[in-house]
Amino acid sequence: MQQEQNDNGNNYALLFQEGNEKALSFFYHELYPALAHYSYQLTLSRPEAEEIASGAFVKAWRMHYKLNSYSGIKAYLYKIVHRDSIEAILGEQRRAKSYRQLTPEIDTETPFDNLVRSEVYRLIHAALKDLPPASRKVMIMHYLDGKTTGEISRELNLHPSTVKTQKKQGLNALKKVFIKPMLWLFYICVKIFLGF
Amino acid sequence: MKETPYNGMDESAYRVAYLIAGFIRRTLTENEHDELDNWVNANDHNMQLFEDLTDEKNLVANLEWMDKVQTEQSYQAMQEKGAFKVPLKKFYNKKIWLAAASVIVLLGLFFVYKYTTSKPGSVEDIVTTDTSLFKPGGNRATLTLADGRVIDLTYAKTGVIEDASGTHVNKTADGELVYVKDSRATNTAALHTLSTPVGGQYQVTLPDGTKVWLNAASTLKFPPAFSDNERKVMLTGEAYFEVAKNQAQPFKVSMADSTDVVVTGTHFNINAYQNEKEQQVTLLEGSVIVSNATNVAKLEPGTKALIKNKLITKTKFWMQKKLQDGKMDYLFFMMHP
Repeated sequence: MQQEQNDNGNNYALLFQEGNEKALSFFYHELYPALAHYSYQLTLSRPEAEEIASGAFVKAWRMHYKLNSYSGIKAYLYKIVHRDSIEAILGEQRRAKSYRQLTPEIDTETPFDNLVRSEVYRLIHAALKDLPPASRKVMIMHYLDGKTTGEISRELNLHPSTVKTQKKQGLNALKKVFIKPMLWLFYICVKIFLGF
Repeated sequence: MKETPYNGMDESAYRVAYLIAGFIRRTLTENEHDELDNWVNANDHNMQLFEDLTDEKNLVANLEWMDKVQTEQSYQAMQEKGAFKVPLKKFYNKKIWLAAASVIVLLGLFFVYKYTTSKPGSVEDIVTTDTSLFKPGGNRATLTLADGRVIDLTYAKTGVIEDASGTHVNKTADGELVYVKDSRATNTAALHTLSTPVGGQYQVTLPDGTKVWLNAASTLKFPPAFSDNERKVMLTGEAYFEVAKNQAQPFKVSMADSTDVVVTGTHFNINAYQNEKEQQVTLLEGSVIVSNATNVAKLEPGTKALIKNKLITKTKFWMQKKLQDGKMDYLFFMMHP
């Protein structure tokens, strides 16, 4: 599946190089939220993050003739966002505070971490964006926490059938691949081993 | 996947993100799952990141954050601002490039052709005066001495001509007059006048060794012995000079309208007929300074000065041959059009 995405992305990349505005629109819609998200991890300011993200597209568009691959364009955009975000916070004493609960011993704020973070959520967000928020929550609870329909319906105050429907919708949206039972077992074992 | 120039960090970050997202969405293959496990277990940092990213609260929060991003509005706003209006480079406009290139080449060829086929300075530049003056000439001239005696050089015998002041003048051959530098000569104010009739010509070697070819209907006034600080002669008409080098004693030719030509060892021609509106000084070798009351021009070989209405203009002329051989040809041109 990644291969298919790559082919499509690279086709658009070639159009991007030629200065085709449809390609600009494609990349903008595909990457803008993630780039803003990435900037937000550094600047901690939504307006600034969005401004930096859109600015990055302007700069990349100026160089359109030099960029001819999906990963090339993406990397270039992230680089610009990174640079501009660092510059934005340089003058200030802002530090990228952790905005999530984390054990403070290990810092997961390296550029690599931030990049992975933005990309993971970009991929998930893209896959889920057509779902209503309720279904989305159901999906997350089910797959991440292994919660049963019953548990979810109790937690969300929904009728189990609603939960089921929403789960189904979510499954369709995610184009689920057949998972072997072994994998599921392995997943549980990993979770037990990791202690959560 | 296409090759990218970007470093490995980006590529591995994309790969890890793909694996983790696939894990969350439960779309990983068995191999991909193994790959993810290897990465997660590689070190504590990876483990921490994995836990962080798969934490439900974080997932929800981040997705909500992304929800709030108004991508379409942002895009529209940028478009309206004209932020994306940049001159687009089009590499595929080869036709236009080729057309432009061929036009430039053609223009270039045209100008090269034009430049090489035109004659800078035609023959007319060299021969300038009324051709009636240049009848096939004979060696005819008169010499007026300081004491007033006029000697017809045409018929004079070769040999020494004596002057009252004691200067020795030698007619060495038909058409040639040679002055010998005489240390005894004292009266430098005295002047000799060499004069040629219409159709005549004569050559004189001045006491400093300067050779002068006097053309038709011309007069050269000069002292039989030069003063110490300068060698001064006066010319009306036309003469060709080969001035002997002497930096200490500049050679000066004065023309009727008080235009002066100052030289330091050169070969040049002066055309200064009184009935002509224009005088010319043509320099073949060395350097001269042409000056009058209001103007000055310094000439280089291959240039000439035109003196008209007290204005001095410099122009180039085309020297046909290297001077040593060409001088006689040049003179021939002058006198026999």
